[in-house]
Amino acid sequence: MIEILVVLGCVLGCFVVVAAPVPPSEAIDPRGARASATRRAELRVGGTVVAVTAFACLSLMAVSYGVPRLVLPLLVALLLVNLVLHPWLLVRFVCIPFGMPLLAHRLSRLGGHPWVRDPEGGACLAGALACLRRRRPHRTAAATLRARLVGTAAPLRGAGIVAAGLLAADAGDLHRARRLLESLDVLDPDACPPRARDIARDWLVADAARRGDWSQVIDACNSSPKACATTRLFRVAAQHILGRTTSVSTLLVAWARAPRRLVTLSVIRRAIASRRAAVRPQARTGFPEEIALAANDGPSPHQRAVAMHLEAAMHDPRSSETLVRVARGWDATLWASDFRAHLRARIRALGGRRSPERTAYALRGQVAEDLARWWSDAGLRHWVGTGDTLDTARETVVRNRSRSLGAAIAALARSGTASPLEIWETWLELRDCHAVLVAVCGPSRLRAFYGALDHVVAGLVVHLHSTRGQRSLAHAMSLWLVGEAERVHDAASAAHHRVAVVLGP
Amino acid sequence: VTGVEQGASAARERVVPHRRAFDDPRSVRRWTANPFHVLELPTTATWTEIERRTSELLAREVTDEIDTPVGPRSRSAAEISAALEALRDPDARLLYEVWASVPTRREETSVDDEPLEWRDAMAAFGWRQR
Repeated sequence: MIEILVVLGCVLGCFVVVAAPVPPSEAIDPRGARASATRRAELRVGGTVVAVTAFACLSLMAVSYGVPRLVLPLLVALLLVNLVLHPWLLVRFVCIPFGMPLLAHRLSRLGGHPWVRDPEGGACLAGALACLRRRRPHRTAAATLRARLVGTAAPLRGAGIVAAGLLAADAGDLHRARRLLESLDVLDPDACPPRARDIARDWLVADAARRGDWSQVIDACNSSPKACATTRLFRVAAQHILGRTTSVSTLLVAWARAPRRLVTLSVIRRAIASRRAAVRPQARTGFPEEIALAANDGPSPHQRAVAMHLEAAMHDPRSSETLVRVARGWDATLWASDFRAHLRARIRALGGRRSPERTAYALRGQVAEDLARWWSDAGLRHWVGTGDTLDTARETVVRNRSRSLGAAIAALARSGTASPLEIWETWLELRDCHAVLVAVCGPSRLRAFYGALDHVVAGLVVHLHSTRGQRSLAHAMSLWLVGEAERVHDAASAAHHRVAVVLGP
Repeated sequence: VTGVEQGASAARERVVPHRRAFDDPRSVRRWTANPFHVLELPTTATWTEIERRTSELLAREVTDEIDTPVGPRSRSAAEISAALEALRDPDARLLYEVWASVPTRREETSVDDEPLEWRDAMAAFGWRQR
């Protein structure tokens, strides 16, 4: 009897825990992401404790009344209740490895760990993970999950964004996937389950390794202190390939600790081989000797510039130094007297209408177009160097990106009724365009760009926060607006957006 | 026998694919799609020589291979006709002349001995490759 009273006391204690959340509700916004996540987590914990306690209580009663055979059915019932309360166990170890996206989605909709911060998005993410584990694409499941993400009335948060990114990757749209998964950086931690963040990081690490961008692999691995064994293997392999560590044993230990050793064996071989290649006296570039000769000592200035341009065109990605070298080569050529004389002679022979100067300008335009594209493709964060050709290339970047920014602002202004995911993607487009302009423009131009986007994004923030209930997205946009307002020294605008930031995700 | 020959021919095509200029990244199309390389003419060729060369190539009605500064590429009748059109304008032609001033080569140019891309990276996490 005493045992039963103790157990009943525990049950009462659980109800108290559920009824009185910790931390106290007045310390946080009751409608915010943290409050709702805390509430969900407490309900799950409370439910689990109630189930276990009820099982203990009923088992004791069964034993005391002389029917111990009831304990086994009670245990089965406890397991079933726990699977309902924590479906992730079943999803993680059965549905995802065996590629059952729709079942993974349905079970995950029951909620629980690890998606308490975003149950709806987490369910879609579980489905997307199962999609990626299948040998062949499951188009119906992918379409269902996509429709679910777009059509849901629940707020879009981190797990939903990761699910959208993985589904985009599954459909082959890697650029969109990258953009969505990288966008987690601007989301408040309360609006993104840590597991979703880890999955996004893992995908970005694997994507960078697939592209051979090993510096990016290290950056992505270092973005989070908690890394799984596979991510640690990627980091060690990247360090080895880039020559930042000399120990082969470290690499082998990382490989032995990671799962799927047969698959990862190839990267171990590659890393060791690349280290051996790096210590060779001179690596063969495979570049045609005649072009290399022309780049150093060609017969005419414009041939040297063209050869350097060709050499840069064949190396992807290009560094800032490469762009500067190519631009200086053209600067030395385009306005040289012998090149002008050559152009003049050819114009006369061909019967052309352009003057040598206008021809040189046209050529500079083509060169600037290439340099601008290379700079954008390489994802360089700063514009390095000045000069006639480089300045023209910079203007080309500004012209192209300001056009894209204008289109993104217009799309965002029209996106009031669009789904939160579409709004988020349009905003990411706008943010990326603006980031490029920040890298290439001076403060006065930036102020003009900021003035054009400020009122549109601010209006959208209000709409998302008040009308659509998308507080996490509105919070991230407000935070970005504060940063950009401070960049252009617009104190009034920064103060205005700070109010929206304080409201929380 | 015909089947075997067809199979061998298909296998050869698979081993040595004909790279097309429009498959190249935009950066190198200034050379792979340059009319002077497409027509295999020097930049000093006269308009008469260009027209004669175009007629000869179009009369052959076969897709063959040309050398460009980045290695061999295939050329089709459409590309030959486009090259002729591109050289009609003397101002545009002069720009093509400048870009075509680097030598061509027979071998495919590879920048690295072995690329450092890891195509199975997704499989390391158990995810499907695309």
